[in-house]
Amino acid sequence: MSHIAELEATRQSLLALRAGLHRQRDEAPTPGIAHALRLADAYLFMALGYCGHNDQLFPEEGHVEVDRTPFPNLR
Amino acid sequence: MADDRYWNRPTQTAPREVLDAVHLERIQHLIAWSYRNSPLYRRLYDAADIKPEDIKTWDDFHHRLPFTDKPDFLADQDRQPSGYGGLALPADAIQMHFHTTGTTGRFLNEGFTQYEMQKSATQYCYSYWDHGIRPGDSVYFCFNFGMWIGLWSIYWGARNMNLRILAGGGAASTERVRQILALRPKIVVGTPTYLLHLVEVARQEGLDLRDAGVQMVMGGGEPGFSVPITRESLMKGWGATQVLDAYGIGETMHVAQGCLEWGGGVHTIEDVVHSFTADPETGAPMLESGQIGENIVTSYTHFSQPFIKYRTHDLVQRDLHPDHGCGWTWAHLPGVVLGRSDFMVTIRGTNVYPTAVENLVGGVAGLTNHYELHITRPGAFDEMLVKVEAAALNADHGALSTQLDEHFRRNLGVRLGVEILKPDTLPRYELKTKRIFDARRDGK
Repeated sequence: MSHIAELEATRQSLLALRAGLHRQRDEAPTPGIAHALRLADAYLFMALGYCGHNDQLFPEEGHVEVDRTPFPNLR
Repeated sequence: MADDRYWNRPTQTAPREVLDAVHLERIQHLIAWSYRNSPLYRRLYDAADIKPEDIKTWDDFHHRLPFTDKPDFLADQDRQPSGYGGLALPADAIQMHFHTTGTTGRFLNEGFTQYEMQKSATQYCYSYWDHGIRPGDSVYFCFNFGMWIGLWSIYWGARNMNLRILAGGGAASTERVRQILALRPKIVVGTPTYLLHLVEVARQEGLDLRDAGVQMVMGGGEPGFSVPITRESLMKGWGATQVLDAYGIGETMHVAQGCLEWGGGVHTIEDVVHSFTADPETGAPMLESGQIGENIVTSYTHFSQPFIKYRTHDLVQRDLHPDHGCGWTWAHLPGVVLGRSDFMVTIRGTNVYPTAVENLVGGVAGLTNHYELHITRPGAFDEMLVKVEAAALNADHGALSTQLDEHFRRNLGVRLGVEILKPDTLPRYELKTKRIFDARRDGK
């Protein structure tokens, strides 16, 4: 196994990690912690990209499409 | 893992068919996103009677999906209150604002979110890593940072790799030479002509940049880093063992780069961009390796302002199965950019289209459309002298010269030489007027 398929297990683990990160972000007790976790999410999403992840193209994509409002994550 | 020469081996060495499958999936996703969220794409695809679900195969992509081009985005830019063409996210999502160099006569605004800056920065890591550059190494920038994205992208790449950043902005060339000798960076970034210019400046100061211990010189903005004689001159002048070329398209924010073995060009970074070659006249795809045609790109780093099947007007030769020993399977562009669909001059790192200059000459009252453009390379840089006839015999040449100079600087982002002539000074032609005199082609 020498190509992108070998990264599928990593991709699945990262997706689980991301779900946990989102929970932490949504429950963050301060804006500072919430923002730091958003930055962490951006870097985590880059790791998913290296795995050939195609379900989303950028971290906030799903949210933006739901309500079409400016999303502070992006700044 | 840390001793792997590849930054991301599974994708960087994947077979072509695997890469193509990932590309098609990403492109389909991007088309759907853009159709839903960008008024420009909605208009373009509706006009072509295309829905995202129609693009099922490469044949659909190549033959049914419309191209996009800079005028599409400029026209939409004029239409949108945000000032950005093709936007697919709210404008307040934009973290960094850039614009193109304006070489076609107008600036195209480019907006990037925080994630897009971070994501696009990753593409430098593939080449840095391949050349043995590691976090903690230092990089010196010979630039003043402005609204052109090119240098910023290298800066963000250095940040992403956690390199130590040494900013040489605002310093004179002599000062930069001394800073480089004192700080001993591993990488120095500049245009090839400027880096060669620094070698000369150092010599005039009685200094030798080979004493700085620089391992790599790199940059972009103009040809040279992939021209063998220029590479040799750079390595000789700097004592560097590595020259890294970077060919990017600012609005799409992708940058093709050289590998350690250097096969005479650059690899497209296929984790962040899809590209193919098309006949610049007919738009027909040219899918065999070795054919020379226009580089057409679809970016995966820019979602707030998507660029899909975008015409770069750069002529390239694509090798889909590179075999020069690096092991990268990503497409290779030997010779990098082989030409433009229109003629281009590079003045102090800024690309200037003579056509754009011609279009601007008429923008100053009191001048005529009798003009000539004289292109020379007296030293390390291209220079352009614009000779224009005044309309009136008693015109104030000094005032007209100042106005035209400022007009060029404002619209092109670079200063040109200006000479105002009396009426009827220039020759008149019965047929096609010869207005561009390129002394560089004659070796002068």
